[in-house]
Amino acid sequence: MSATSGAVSLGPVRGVRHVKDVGFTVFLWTCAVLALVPLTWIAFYVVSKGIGALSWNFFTKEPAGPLNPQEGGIVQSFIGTGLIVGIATVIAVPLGILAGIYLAEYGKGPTASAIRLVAYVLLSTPSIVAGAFIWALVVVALGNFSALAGGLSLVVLMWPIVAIASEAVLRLVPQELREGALALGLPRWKTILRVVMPTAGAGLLTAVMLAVARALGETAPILLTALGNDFINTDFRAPTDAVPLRVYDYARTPVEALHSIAWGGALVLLAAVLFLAISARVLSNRQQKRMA
Amino acid sequence: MRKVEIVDLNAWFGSNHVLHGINLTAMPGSVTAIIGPSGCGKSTLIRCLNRMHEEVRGARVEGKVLFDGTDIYGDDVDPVAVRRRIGMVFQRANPFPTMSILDNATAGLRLSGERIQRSKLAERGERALQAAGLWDEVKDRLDEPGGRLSGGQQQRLCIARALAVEPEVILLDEPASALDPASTLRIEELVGNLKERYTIVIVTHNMQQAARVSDWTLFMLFGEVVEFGPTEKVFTTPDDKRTEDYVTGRFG
Amino acid sequence: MTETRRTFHDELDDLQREILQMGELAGTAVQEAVHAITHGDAAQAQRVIDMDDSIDHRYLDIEQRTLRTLALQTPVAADLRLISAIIHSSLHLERIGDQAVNIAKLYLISKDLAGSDTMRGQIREMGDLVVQMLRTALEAFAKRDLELALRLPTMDDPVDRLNRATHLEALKLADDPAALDWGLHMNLAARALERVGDNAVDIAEQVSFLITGEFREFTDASHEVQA
Repeated sequence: MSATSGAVSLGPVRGVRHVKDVGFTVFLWTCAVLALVPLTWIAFYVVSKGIGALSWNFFTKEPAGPLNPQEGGIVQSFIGTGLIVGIATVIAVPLGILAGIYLAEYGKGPTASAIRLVAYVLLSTPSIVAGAFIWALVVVALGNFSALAGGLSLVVLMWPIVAIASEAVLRLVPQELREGALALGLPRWKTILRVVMPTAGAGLLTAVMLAVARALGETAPILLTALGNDFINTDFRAPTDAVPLRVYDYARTPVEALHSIAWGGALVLLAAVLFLAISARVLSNRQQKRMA
Repeated sequence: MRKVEIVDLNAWFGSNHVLHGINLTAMPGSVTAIIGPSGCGKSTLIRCLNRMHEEVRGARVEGKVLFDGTDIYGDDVDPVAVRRRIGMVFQRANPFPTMSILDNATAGLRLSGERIQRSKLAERGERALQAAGLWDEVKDRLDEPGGRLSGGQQQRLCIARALAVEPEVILLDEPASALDPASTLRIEELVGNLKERYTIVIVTHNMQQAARVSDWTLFMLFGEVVEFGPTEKVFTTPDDKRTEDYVTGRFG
Repeated sequence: MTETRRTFHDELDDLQREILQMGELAGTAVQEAVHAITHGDAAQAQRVIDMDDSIDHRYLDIEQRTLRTLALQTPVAADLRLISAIIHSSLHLERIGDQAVNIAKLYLISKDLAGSDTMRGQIREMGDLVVQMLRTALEAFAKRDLELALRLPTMDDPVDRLNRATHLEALKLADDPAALDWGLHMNLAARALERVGDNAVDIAEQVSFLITGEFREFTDASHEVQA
């Protein structure tokens, strides 16, 4: 920008360039704010609509009769979600972590590639397809809808998340740690179990939390496999309710009081998912610091 | 009575032939240095001594490595057992981040499957830390995580960890190359002290270090042994011109 | 801060001890050679000649060990100057040992000839002076005492004077061929002693270099000697 003298000006940025700098910065900030708007709007909306429904009854009573729907609660949905997601977690997490270990520690041959492919495909499978698959396999075979079937349909969705995320975290454990353990005369399995996994520790927990967060909100597969229930059920072979399912049901009814309860359910779900996602992030940051 | 004897050792990474017909002898209580330019195969060679080379996918070894007369590559020899008697310290210190200083030092003992009492463990841990010259600096903070020590201290912790399982041979793969000069000299001093009780093989790209620290020196080039002799001879009147050119800095 | 490279520093200490011991041996050799002349002791002269082997052994040992240290330890700063001083000094001490042997041999060749007591006295005085010079240089080395080292050039002056005096004294014996013969041999012995003195000054120069890091010649053959 300096004229003919050839000397370089060391002064502050001025003129057209300054305007461009400021303009671009403003643009970026605007984009960021706009991106945040939907999330904050949803959050506020759900909170405002649902906060009124949260009450003692809401958390401890089953749905009430048609005469006084607002007196009822959805305790069976919470217990049901706990049961279904619990079953799913107990199955998906060990299988997922084992797959993650296999892929990270032994994973170069054709078998590993196949497993990885399956995981990525399942990751993008529409949840209703998972539900339909388990319906055909389990519901038809057992003859009834069940929490077990519900759990299994969630396994289809959770397992790839756990497997892929654990592989990623385990790969991040520096190779030198494995070498150090092997050189000490530790067999490979002990190296993985006692050195690599503890080091990846928080990362593995993060993988699990992300999978659970996903599972909590799934509605379509539960619809086809667990069916739902107005009463508390603890038998895994019987139809069971779940929070997202209940929200779906109540949203479709014309009863105003039930809408309010549905918003309450949505709020609880949102809070749970946000909590898991944020905790996962915090843990992940701490994990990164530890491995640096 | 030779502690370690390498007979006609060849090694490959896949189809890449990286070590050609290596022969080497290490007597007990001696320090043998392996020197040579980057890529000459010195790290590969030392990793063949405790069967770490084959941990890399596609890596292969032929030839014999005799440890107290027994070939460690024999059919019925377990690599894990070999590594408990031939220990290794790496270029970059690699203490286990989830363990405390004492737990790091005793890791090889605790995870060995052998049941050892806690008091015995602490005693052996202390001995190893003393032998590594680290005890005085950490005795008041044994429960702190291993990662909080300085680079030189971490490396000495890794040496303590290797010593705690009481191996007979210690392999050092450029143990000081990531450290500052003062820490480097401390490690060299340590090697001098350790050679009374162990047989030591050290890979180094620092010739002066090899000169200061070792009794025998092996000079390698392109995966082959060029010269192997007493350190004093290699650095005053080497037999091979290539050795002379390397140690005088004419190439490398 | 703990000391590192202890083996290296121990070796340096050892080498220094060795050079000082070698110096003692050389000084004793000169002393005994002069004593053989002044007291007519042929056996003593022979012992001096035999003893030179041990001086030569030390010389070779020091040569080998200093070379080894340079190759393996790459000494720097004061350590390097010490090695350099040791290498140079061992050479000077070996020369002093050779001079002592020369003196002893000169005695043995001429012992049956009649001599001059005056000359014997001069030689004894020279002997005392140069041995004292050597001992002073070695003490300066051991204590790293620059002031002591700087005394050496001055101590050399009387030695030079006595050397010229023996020359004149020998001329006085010209009338008697046998006595002249003896006198000429003794003159050579005096010259050997003067060389011992020069070597002692050279050692002091090394000490000065060791301490200051600067190399200065104390005396130079091309410059005038103060009368």
